[in-house]
Amino acid sequence: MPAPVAATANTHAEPAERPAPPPPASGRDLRLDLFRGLALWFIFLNHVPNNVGNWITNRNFGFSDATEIFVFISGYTAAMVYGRQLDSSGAMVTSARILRRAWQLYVAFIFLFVIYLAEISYVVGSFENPLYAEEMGALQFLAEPDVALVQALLLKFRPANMDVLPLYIVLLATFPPILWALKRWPDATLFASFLLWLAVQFLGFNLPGYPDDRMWFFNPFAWQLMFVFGGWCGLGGSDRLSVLVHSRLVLALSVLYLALSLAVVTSWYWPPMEGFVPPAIGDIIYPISKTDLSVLRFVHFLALAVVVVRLIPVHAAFLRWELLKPLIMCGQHSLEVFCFGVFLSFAAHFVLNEVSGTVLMQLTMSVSGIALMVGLSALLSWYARAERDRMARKKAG
Amino acid sequence: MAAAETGKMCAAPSALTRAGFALPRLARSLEKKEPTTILVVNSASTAKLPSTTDSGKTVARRSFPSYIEETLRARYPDGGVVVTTRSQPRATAAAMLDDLPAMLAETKPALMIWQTGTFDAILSAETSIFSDAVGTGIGYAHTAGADVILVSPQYSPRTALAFDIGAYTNALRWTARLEGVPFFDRYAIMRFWEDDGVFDLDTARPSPTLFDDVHSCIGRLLVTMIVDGVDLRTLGSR
Repeated sequence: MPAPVAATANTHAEPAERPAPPPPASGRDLRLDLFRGLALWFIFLNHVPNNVGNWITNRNFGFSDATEIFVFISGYTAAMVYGRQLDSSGAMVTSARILRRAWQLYVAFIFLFVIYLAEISYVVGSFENPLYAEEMGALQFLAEPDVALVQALLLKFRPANMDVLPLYIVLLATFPPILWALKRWPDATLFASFLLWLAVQFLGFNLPGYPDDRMWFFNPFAWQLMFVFGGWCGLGGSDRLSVLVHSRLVLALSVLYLALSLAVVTSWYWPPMEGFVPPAIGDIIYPISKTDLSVLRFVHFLALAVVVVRLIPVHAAFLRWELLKPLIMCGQHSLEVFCFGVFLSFAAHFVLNEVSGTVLMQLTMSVSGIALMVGLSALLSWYARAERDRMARKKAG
Repeated sequence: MAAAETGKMCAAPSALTRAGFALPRLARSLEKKEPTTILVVNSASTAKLPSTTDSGKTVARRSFPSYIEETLRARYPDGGVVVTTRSQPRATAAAMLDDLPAMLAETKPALMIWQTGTFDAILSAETSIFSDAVGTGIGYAHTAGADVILVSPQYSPRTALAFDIGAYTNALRWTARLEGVPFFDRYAIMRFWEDDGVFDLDTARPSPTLFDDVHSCIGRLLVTMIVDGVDLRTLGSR
């Protein structure tokens, strides 16, 4: 069994694997990287339209999907890393660092937007099919590029696949005061965040979008709860929850809820299950809003987290298996890998339409896309290591 | 002739053309052999527009309602079946509600075939507002004495990058079940054709007859569902 060897080999390299912000202290919870990596793979697979590869992703097995995992872990790590900096460097410097990160994301968004525009322009220019006149008409924002571009700069125009990025930008840009409050009054801050989410459920306010009267697909007023809850856990809340997480009752309820939600979701696409949800219940629970982070989705994520935490302890030996390393590496470079994944989903869509859309091709696109994401994360890890060595030599010399 | 040829291509899994719910109002009207109107409501922008092909010839495009009329007339020759279409380009289901009562009052249909969701998806409208609007619209039709068949947006592989139809198709399927009306999953049927190589829907150079072929198939399969819904009623009343 190679695991123990790999473990000793990795313990020294691992804690410092992260590029900017500065490397966290040792004892990093590898589960965070592992599941963020997995979420990134799933988001990529889900973003390739008409792809059989996305049947393996978690959205087909329950109410919540990869977005919840991604936003929660991003909140968790952001609070952990910047919370520590808040203690060592002060509020001003830490806030500046958070805003710089948000700026990087903004630039990445604009970069991806340009690529998206290029592909859509190509589709509009090259495709003339009367069957799709209505759908093509929807892409007519290109007729007024001045407006479309300004709306994109204002984050109001967000193409379908890139919705997570503007959400992340807004969450991060507003994070400095929230982090400060989380450190001071963690429970009150979480409660305030919960109240805001609750208000959205009843009042339904959202940020406006473009074109026409559309709204943000991920309502930031609702999704902030996932991020703040992640942050609350990252600042020690998860330890306080451990009594709850390790209670047999909670575990049993979680498993039950996951099973029920699996059955409901299956009834959406598997004919034999079609009559599973009685109309009276369906009338109450449907539609399960992704925009406003429906309570069913939130609870599903919590149940999933409880089961995962129980199944995989922090120091589980298999977390250091070589086989899982690609996933962990992707999770450690989430911004770069996420953006690259969006780009790859555009590329895969292009190939599936222009070259061939067979099932074999869909699988090839899925696998090679993930391979490229892993390749990028390996490159970034190597570069971060090289830079660190250089800095260390400089200091020593 | 051509009709027989397309008839062969129009295969689709039978689960997708099963009505599941009866169409009692339409069945009564056909039974009495009185003039029967079927109203098709959609948001198409180019219905019945003639256009030129590569060779410069002008062809009049026929969309699926005219195929429904042709096939139903052959099947129920007495009384006379008329299919009329009302389309509102770029209208969400909620926007459609404003005009629906007037349309129903004007045409007095026995059946309303309602295709909706495309523009809701384009706007990424809230799915709860969408399904509520569809439910209300079905209520209007029932009050006006018309049965309803819901039709999902079509499968459009090239524009799938810009907007995702899936959530709206699911909302329609559920609303149809809740309200007890048949659901014609045009999206799933066209997806099936693409996967099975029946039609090439994502090619940059579609054949000049693609529009007519697809619409004639949609029309025929809709008739299969209509007949199924009408027969359900007859069987039940025996």
